[in-house]
Amino acid sequence: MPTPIQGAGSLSWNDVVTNLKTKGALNKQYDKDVDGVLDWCVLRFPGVRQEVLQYFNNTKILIATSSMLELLNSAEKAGNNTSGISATSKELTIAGGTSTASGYTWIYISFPYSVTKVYACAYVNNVNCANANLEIFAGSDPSITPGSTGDTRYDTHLEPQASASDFKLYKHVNGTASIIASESVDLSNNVYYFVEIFVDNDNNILKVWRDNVLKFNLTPDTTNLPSFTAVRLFVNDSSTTTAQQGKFKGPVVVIYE
Amino acid sequence: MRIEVRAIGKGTEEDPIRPDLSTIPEIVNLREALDEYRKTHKKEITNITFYTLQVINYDEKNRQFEVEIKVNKDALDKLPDEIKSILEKL
Repeated sequence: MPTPIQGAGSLSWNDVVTNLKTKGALNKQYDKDVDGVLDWCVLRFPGVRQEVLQYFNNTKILIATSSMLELLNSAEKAGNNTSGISATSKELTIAGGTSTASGYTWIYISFPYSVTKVYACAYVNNVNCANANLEIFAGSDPSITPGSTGDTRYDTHLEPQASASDFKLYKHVNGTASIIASESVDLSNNVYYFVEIFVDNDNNILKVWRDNVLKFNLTPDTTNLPSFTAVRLFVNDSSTTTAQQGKFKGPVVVIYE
Repeated sequence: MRIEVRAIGKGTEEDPIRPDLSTIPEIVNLREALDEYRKTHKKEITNITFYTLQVINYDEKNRQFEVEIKVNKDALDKLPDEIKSILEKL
């Protein structure tokens, strides 16, 4: 016969354990259905916006680092001027072209398989380039030349040199680019802005934040971009007389499912 | 507000397909006022969002966008009167 616990009325220890398992206690805050599996949506995940976690059931990490050396070591290089890519632990620098040629240059990290949910964030600084982008790529070859068939992606476009629409979201489908959202704002050259993008094709969510403020909230194009293959950090040098650069720094965090 | 505007652009990286905002008088006026402010004050009003624009629908056949424009009302009090008065009309 179980011994009643002092101060717990007629509850036995077994009753207490049963109540903890079914009704929960503090643990219920972190495990709603008390099944022993912690709920992502209520946990802090370093570097990830809290509200997106509720949409992940089986989260995977592509990369989570503030060392740009680690980022560059984990990435592949592509574009017109791959020798213009360098990193310190603090900053990743990408020169899109050269002092005599314009060009696009980027690094990318591929997912191990096609995914339908991606959250990515990074500090982005256009320095003096036409635009510096944090991108989620949906084609089969993340090194493909921009504008080609197979160049399919969302790109958050930091473009301080534009006229009062300095932050945009582009959609590229097989090389055709369109602007699907824009923020009328004047941003500064050589300043870091924190950019986050979250796309969830299962729940029809496409959101973009700049400096922790939600800027765009759209429905994703699940027909043309049904799944994603890579995350890219991209720089466009539009000048044939100046070498234009963009910079990125951490935290660079990419999670997927 | 939600409005329909025609699409411009060839779809290239440098000339993307986008809503033609030159047909919206309030936005044209805002751009002109900001240009004038830059010239007069020799500086920009930086990092203040005037409005955001999102594409709701794109009719590829007729090259027509349906867009939603949201004015950032929180910014109004931070703006000079000549910009504020134009933005309030949007």
